Amino acid sequence: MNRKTALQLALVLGIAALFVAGFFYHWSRVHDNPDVELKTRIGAWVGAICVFGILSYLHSENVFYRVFEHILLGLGLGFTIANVIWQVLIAKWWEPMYAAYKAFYEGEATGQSYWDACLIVAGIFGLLWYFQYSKKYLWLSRITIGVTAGAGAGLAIKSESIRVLPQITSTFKNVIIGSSAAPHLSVGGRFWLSLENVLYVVIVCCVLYYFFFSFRRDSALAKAPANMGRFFLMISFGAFFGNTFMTRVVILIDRVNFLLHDWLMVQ
Amino acid sequence: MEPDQAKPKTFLERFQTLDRRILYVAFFVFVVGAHFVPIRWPSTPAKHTRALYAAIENAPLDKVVAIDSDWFAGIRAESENQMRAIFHHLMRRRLKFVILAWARNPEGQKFGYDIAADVAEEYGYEYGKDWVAFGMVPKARGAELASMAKDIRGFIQTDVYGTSLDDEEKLPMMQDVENIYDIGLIVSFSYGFDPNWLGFIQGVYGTPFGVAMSAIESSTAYSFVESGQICGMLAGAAGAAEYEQLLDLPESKRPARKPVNVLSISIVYILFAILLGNIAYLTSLGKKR
Repeated sequence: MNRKTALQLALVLGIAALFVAGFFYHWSRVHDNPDVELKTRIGAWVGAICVFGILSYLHSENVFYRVFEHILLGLGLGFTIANVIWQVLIAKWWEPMYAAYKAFYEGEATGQSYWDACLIVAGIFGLLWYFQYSKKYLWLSRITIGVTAGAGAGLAIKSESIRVLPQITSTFKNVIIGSSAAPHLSVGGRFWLSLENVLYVVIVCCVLYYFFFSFRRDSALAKAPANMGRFFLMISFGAFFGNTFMTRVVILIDRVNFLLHDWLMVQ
Repeated sequence: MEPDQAKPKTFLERFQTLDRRILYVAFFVFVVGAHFVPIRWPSTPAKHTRALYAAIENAPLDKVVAIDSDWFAGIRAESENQMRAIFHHLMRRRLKFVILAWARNPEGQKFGYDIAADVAEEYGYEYGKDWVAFGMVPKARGAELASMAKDIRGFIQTDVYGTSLDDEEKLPMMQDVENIYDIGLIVSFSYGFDPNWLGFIQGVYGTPFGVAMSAIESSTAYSFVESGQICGMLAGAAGAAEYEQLLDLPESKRPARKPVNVLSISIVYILFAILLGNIAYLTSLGKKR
């Protein structure tokens, strides 16, 4: 038996041992908590098996992991499709449109019925997308694509300008905070705020300079701000990584919490 | 055999070639162990957490708060506790609220509804009268936000049960909600916030906009908090714990506290591993020279 096989065997045996121990522990806790419903207990077991299945990827890519990965993807997709069909297509498109045509048929149409009847146009327009699968009628899908892309571009331009412009103006900081600018602050407070703003402006300038490639940076004076900009960027990347770590570990902590409290019912 | 090869490896040399899976198992054991450590790490609410608290504290009572529940099971560890803390604050102030749901993240609707219903029971909030969960709508490039701002009832149409938002008997609260000017504050719960909220709502109508997001994506929002476009932010599980502290909730209603305690202890392991790895690396460099 080579080392890899031995490690895999140890992993499978370890998980199996954990489940057997978990089963006995769970069973003992169930006697102490008779109020816990059977479906909750079954749910906890299924959840625990899924957690170990997904975590087994940390050892290596394996069949056990792939089974749970496919289950997860399938469930997610099925849930999304079902929700979109029932809560969007049927509730917001089919039902009002059907009610409108019914009202026309029964002679009870109102002003809203005319708008709701127009929903059929949106439906036909949306269906044109599917001509992507036909070589002969591909051009029909381009009408929908053109309108969608054009509307999307227009919306994006509006959104981006409204979103980004305040970012630029907020960069123009007052670097000397006087008593009129911040009357609620003490002299010390105004000093620290000024220092903070000076630092802010220096960092913004250095980082922008780092991405300015229009001339050679031969002299030490020309290199210094770019180096400082890179240094500041590295600090921000470190902060990004710290945040990444936080989220990943909290997700693990949540699963461990689930295994301990929901599955094993440890108090 | 060469004399160098015969020499047994030192601990630091072994550490450099350590199988990563051993580190994983050790970390898992460490996290499990950390659950039983009765340490309560002190935490100070961050500036952006206090800003969101102030925004809710100052939200007008005659307007509705819109909760954008745009998250999924993968970030439940962070978003659930953030949302619970915000609902506590809203209901404590007797603010009425609506929950928005998007087809992009259908799980968000269920999570938002379940948490609101759970907290509502405690504060005697009544569905339809004090809060409403909207039916799902598609989300695409902000066009839906622009439409919704002008005519909320006309755009959303139904609540989560399929009841028309115009139904005065079942949803009396919605009869006072016409457009974005009836919304006093928006709080978005998501993995990473949707910038279209700024481009189509906050930037156009000036409606205060706060975010509660995963720590991993919070870095992208700091510049917007700094510029005042985002009125406050909860970043990850730590943000939820800080908010619970600001609300001064009793210990039994602070679910975010424990994960943050465990997180703080876990950081010790990572710092230790980074430190040891670097010492081992520097030592090996010294030997090569």
